[in-house]
Amino acid sequence: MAETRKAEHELFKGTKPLAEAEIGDVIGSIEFVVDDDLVNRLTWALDDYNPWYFQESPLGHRIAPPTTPLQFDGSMFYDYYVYPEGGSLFAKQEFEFLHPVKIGVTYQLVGTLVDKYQKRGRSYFKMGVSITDPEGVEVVRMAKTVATPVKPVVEAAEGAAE
Amino acid sequence: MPAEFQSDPTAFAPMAVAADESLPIGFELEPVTKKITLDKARIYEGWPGRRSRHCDYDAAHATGLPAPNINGALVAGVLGELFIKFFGENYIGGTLSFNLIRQVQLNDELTARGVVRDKAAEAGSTRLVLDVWLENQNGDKVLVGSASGLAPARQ
Repeated sequence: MAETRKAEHELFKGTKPLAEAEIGDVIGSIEFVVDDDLVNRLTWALDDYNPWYFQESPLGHRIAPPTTPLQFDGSMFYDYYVYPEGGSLFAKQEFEFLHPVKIGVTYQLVGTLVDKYQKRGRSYFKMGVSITDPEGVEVVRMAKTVATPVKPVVEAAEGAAE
Repeated sequence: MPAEFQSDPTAFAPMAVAADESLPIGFELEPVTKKITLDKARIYEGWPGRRSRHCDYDAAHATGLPAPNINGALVAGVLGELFIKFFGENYIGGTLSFNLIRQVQLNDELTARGVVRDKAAEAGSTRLVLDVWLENQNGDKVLVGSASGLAPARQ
């Protein structure tokens, strides 16, 4: 089947099973640029036409919408870990905004597994993400937590004493 | 402008009251409401070049969904608009954190809300800490979280 006709989850390249995930795994590193096409898509999708995304802001340049990095960190996780059969949920996200993400600048995004735990029938995996500019200055610090499976595993009934 | 000319309902409008240190705990932010249609989901995902369960029916069915559900990242964008409108350029130095607690479906109408929960002196300014959330047209919360940023003195 041509690549363009495959569904997203069929295109993920991950090879490490989540069962073997270890805190400290270096999940990946990608470069990204927020270009005019992406700005147009994001602002159109949200009907958010903040002039700072299209012309110079009080910060001295055009800036990307704050949550723009979410366009880039999701696919990285399952390009390292095998996409689970039970599917995956985007559970939690955390941001620290240190400097603006500017339009037209190439940034590097690095992800590392920083936590994993079980809760209410699902496995949770937390990826710490650092975004740096061409000078190596960190501009955004994030963490994304994904959960699997989509339908939680029903725990076996505990004894009455519990 | 001639009276018969209609105004653009999507035109950007700043918040009437943005962050400043005089706001009291309990202050409720002006909400931001967006309807997430299939077209909006598709433009966000980059369909048809990118076929995910968030924008493509076949991909959704392949993962057991009856129809595409909305990407959490797109949902977060509604919160992001509330965040930067309220804090302005002081979103830099700010934080945003949220849990997605309910799937968002096509044509859901999402409203981002926030309330000042705490204030703390910091670096000669005041950090406002907010409870933030998104609710759908039924009043069900789909996202809950917190946000913070430095607030300038009232001019």
